[in-house]
Amino acid sequence: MVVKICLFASLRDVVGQSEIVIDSVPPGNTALQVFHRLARRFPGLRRYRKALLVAVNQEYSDWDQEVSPGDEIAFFPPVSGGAA
Amino acid sequence: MAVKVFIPTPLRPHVGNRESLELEGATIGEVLRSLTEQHGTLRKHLYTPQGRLRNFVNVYLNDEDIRYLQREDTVVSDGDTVSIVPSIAGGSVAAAPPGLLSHEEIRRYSRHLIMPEVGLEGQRKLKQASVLCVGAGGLGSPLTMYLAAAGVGRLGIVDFDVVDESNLQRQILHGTGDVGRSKLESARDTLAEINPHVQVETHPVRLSSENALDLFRDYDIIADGTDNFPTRYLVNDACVLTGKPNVYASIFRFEGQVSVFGLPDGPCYRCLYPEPPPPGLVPSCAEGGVLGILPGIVGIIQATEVVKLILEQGDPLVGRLLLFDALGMTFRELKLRRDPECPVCGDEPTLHELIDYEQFCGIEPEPATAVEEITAVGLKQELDRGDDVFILDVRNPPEYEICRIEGAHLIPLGDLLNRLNELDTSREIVAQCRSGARSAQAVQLLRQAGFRKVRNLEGGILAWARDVDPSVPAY
Repeated sequence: MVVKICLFASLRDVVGQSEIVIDSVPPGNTALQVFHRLARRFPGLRRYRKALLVAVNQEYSDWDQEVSPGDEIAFFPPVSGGAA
Repeated sequence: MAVKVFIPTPLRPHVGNRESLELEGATIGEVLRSLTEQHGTLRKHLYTPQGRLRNFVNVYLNDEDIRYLQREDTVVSDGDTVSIVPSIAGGSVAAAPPGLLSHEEIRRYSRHLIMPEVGLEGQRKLKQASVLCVGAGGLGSPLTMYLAAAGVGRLGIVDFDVVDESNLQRQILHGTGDVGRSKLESARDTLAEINPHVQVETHPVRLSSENALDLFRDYDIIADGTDNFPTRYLVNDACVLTGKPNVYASIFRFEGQVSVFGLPDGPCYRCLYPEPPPPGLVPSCAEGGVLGILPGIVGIIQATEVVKLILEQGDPLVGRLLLFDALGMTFRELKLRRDPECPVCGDEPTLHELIDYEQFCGIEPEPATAVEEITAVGLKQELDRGDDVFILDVRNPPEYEICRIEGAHLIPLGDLLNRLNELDTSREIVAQCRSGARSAQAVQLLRQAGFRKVRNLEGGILAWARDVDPSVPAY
C-alpha cells in the first residue's frame, strides 16, 4: 500500500526532502515499521527514532498504530531554537 | 453605606491632603454629594454649574467605570471603593491607579477599546496582567514588543546574554548601537520607547531549578522563547508545578511550532516529548541557521496567544500544535492529547519538584567518552609536514561557501551516516565544523561506526581563522 511521509526540521537534511511517498508498505504495518522501512533507505534517520514525535493524519499517535493506505505519517524531531 | 473614596493627587488639597475618605451614601451620586458638601471647594472641579458631573471626571466603583454601570445612580455596598480618576491638568495626565486607564491610555488603546472582544474591560485586563518572557532574543523580540504595545501591565524578561552582531538579523529589540550591551538593558529601552505605561521587570539570571518557581509565581502567564532543551523542560515543569499557562514557541530554519501547554485538561510539553533528544542530535539555530523573519512570525503568534489568554477570548492553542513552514507558506495543525501517565501533568504525577535539567538532557560537564582533539596550529603543522590527513568538514553547504580549509571534504553532519562509504577507515581523519561542537558529534558517530583514527578540530574553523589563516572570515 501507498503512504505519504512528511518530514520536519533536521530530518529534512537527512532525507533531502520534506515529503516522500512509499508504495511498498505491507498492509497492517505500524508507524514504527514504516519508520524502519524509511530508515533502511536513510540510515541517518535511525538515531533520531527515540526523540521523534509521530503523527498519523495530523493526529499525535503511538508508534504501534497501524497505518492504512493513503495515510499521511509525519515525523517531528523536537526543535529548541528561539533565543540565541 | 460606608464606602472608601480615593482622591487623586491634584484634588487632595481640597480634602486636607488626604488620600482617601470614608463617606456615606446609597448611590455613587449620594456619596459624591456628601463629599462635596463636606469639602465645598471640590464641587466646581467635579460638577458643572448646572450640577452635572463633568464629562472628564472618571469615577470608578471598585474597578468598574460607572459609565458602564448606572452612572450616578449606581448602588454602592458597604466596603466598596470609589475612585475619582485624575482629570487633565496643564496638558499632562497623572498616572491612573492600577487597573484603571488614564485619558492618555484611552487614546493610545482606542483601536482596542472600540472592539467588543477587548473594550475597556479587556484593556484593563491587559493592564492588570503580568507576563514573564523567558529569553530576549529571536522570539522574545516581537513577543515583548507587541505585548508592550498592547498594554500588558507588567512584563518580566529573563535573559543574561549580551547583544551580538549576529543577533541583529532577527532580534529586532536590539539595534546596531546595542552590540555589546546587555540584552535586558537594550530591551528595556526599546520597550519604554514603545509604551512607557508598561512596567518592564528585568531578571538578569540564567533560569534554573533554584529560581524558576519563585520567578514564575509572580506572573500570570509564562512565554517560553528559549533556545535549549534543558530550559524547555525546566519551563514546562515549573509551569505545571506553579499552575501557570506556558505559551510555547520554537523555531528552526524556516519552520516554527506554537502551542499552549500547562492548562487544565491540556497536554504539557512532556506529553509530546517525554524524553529529551540526546545531546547534539538536534541542531540549534546557531548550528542550523534560521530565517531572520521566522521568529517574527512565530513570536507574534505566540504574543497573540498570550493576549487571547489574558482577554479570555477565542480558542487558545490548547491540545493543538501549530506548525508553520515559511518555505511552503503553510500552517498545519497537529492534534495533541494529554498523557494520563505524564510524570508531571498526568493523573498520578511522580515529579513534584524541579530536577537537574542539564543531567536530564544528558548534558554532562565532562563528556564520558572524551573526544580526541587537535588544535588549529597542530593541524597546520601536520599538513605542512606532509602527513596524510583527511579533513572532514561536517558543516552545511552554505557554510562551506562562506569559507573552508583548503582540501576539506564536505559531508554535512546530518548526512554523515548515509555517506560513510566516502570515508576510509585507515586514514587519519580530522573532523571540523564552525566552532567544534558538531564535529565532536561527528567524531563520536564515526567511532561508533568503527573508525579509530578520528580527531576533532578544537574550536573549528573559527580557531583556524584566528590562529592559522586570518584571510578566512569568521561568521
